[in-house]
Amino acid sequence: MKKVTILLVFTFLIICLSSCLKTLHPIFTVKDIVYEQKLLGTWKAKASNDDLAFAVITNLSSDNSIELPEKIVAIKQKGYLILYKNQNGEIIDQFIAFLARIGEHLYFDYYPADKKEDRKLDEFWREHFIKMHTSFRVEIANDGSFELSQFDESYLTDLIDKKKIRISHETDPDDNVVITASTSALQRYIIKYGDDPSAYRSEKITFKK
Amino acid sequence: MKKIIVSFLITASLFQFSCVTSWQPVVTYNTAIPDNRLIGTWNSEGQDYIVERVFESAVYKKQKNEPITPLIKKGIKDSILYSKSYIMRYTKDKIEYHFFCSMIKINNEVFMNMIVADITSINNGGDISELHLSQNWLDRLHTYTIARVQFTNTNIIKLDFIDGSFIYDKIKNGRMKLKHESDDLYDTFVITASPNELQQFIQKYGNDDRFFDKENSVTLIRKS
Repeated sequence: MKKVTILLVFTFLIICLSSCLKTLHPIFTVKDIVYEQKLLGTWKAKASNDDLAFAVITNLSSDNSIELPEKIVAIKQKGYLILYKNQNGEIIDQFIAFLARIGEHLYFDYYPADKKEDRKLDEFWREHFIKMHTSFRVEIANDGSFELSQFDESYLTDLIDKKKIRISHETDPDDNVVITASTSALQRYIIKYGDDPSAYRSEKITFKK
Repeated sequence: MKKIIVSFLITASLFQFSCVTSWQPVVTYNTAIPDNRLIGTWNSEGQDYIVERVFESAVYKKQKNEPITPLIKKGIKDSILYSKSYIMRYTKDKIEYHFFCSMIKINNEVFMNMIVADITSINNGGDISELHLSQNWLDRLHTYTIARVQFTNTNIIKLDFIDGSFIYDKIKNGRMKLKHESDDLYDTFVITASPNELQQFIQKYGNDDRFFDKENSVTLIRKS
């Protein structure tokens, strides 16, 4: 049986389309974390499909309302809280994010942070979900703007299908795949394929002040 | 807090417990057993729960009206599974929660798998956009809970959910073997064993009362 998919009806915006690579483990360890003060602020986030949102990036320690795992609390000064808002100023999504240097490049690891509306949902229902990590290559321009390129899940699953890569994953009886690779294995993947444009989704998200 | 959650909710919640979830089901189309004693309206601690056959459920009918939907485009195996499965729904704070439930018999005991099927608002024809939930729910992994089902009689059902803390401790200490993934930084823990491995695991430990936490038990009393 394919996962009985919930019928959440959302106006779908610029991030985390179904083709983005989601992993059970983060792509970074604490020693990989980089903190860039210049990423803080309010940004216009625009994808190539013309969707526009506003991103507010703050230091993770500045908002005590966000539920954080215990070990993340210890490093929250090095993390970011990224809020995506629509044109009406409503928060549509928020993430705990860490910037990490992996190989030659900088990457963001995004992890869902529940909004207050999410926390109102029944606990039993919420416990049937596991939050996944999504990751982006980050390219910061000289003018301070930056661009995110998101890893493409189908690129990796093609490599797996063609047996061109050995990376931990699980396949259920209906061929749903979840990437269970460890952080170090994910980093090896990133270092090997991080310079290949086809490893990323074609839409980039640009952040401008 | 691990994915095994100790719920601090003191409101009348159906299932206030620490649960452990698995990515794969323990029940498959060829092991599922129907038991229509489950059908009806039930109550536990003031909260009503409605159980109906999948094919008669609002979730199924809703998806049937949409051209490409996850439930309808299933193959024959799914049809078999759905024909033996149920939707349990309950309403809290004007939100209706729907779970897909299927059962299996192991060691002469009945076990139920539950996974999220839908969430609807009781206003606006079920549209949940007014709830303003995060979009990132779409990126989360759907997982199953497992409970032992005891039909005391036709009017009382007891659900004993597997004690997440017990399983977690045993697995982490190497005293139980079951395929899983855990991430210490984000406190993530999920069982990744296959249906067959899960069935073997329950076969081995399902008769051990420590496997179930008394606080994770729910008694459903039939209303109709």
